[in-house]
Amino acid sequence: MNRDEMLKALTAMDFYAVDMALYLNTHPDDTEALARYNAIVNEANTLRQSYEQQYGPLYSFRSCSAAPWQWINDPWPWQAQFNFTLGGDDK
Amino acid sequence: MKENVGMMAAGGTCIPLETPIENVRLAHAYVPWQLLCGTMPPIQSLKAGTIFPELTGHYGVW
Repeated sequence: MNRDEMLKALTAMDFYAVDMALYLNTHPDDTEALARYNAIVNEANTLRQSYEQQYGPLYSFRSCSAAPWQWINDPWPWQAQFNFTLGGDDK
Repeated sequence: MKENVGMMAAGGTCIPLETPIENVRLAHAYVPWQLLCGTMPPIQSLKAGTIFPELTGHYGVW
């Protein structure tokens, strides 16, 4: 996967976890939902680690950094070139 | 405790909400209890704004 593909997959996995977490707030005893939540969180963490090793930190805190401090490198997350497109569906 | 898994209808279709809905009173709003059926793959979910296929397309957006 290239950088955009990794970032898109990571964003999608994080979104999946957020939405399943909302479901779990009202269904805390649903073991199947909890299993799907834990699986996607682990999968996303693995991919996030791989992304950060190749392309730098995704957080200004929480992420480890190579030396020198990597967070100040371009592009910044709020710049267009940092982000991926959803292939025509992100109008 | 509420049941959590969607009922399987004839033909193998999973119904993602409680059936039948009981104790609904006139002039009272009620939100049906959601039950877990299938979820969409992460990329498709991100585009739809939900991981639950039964929650897509309600406002003419997707």
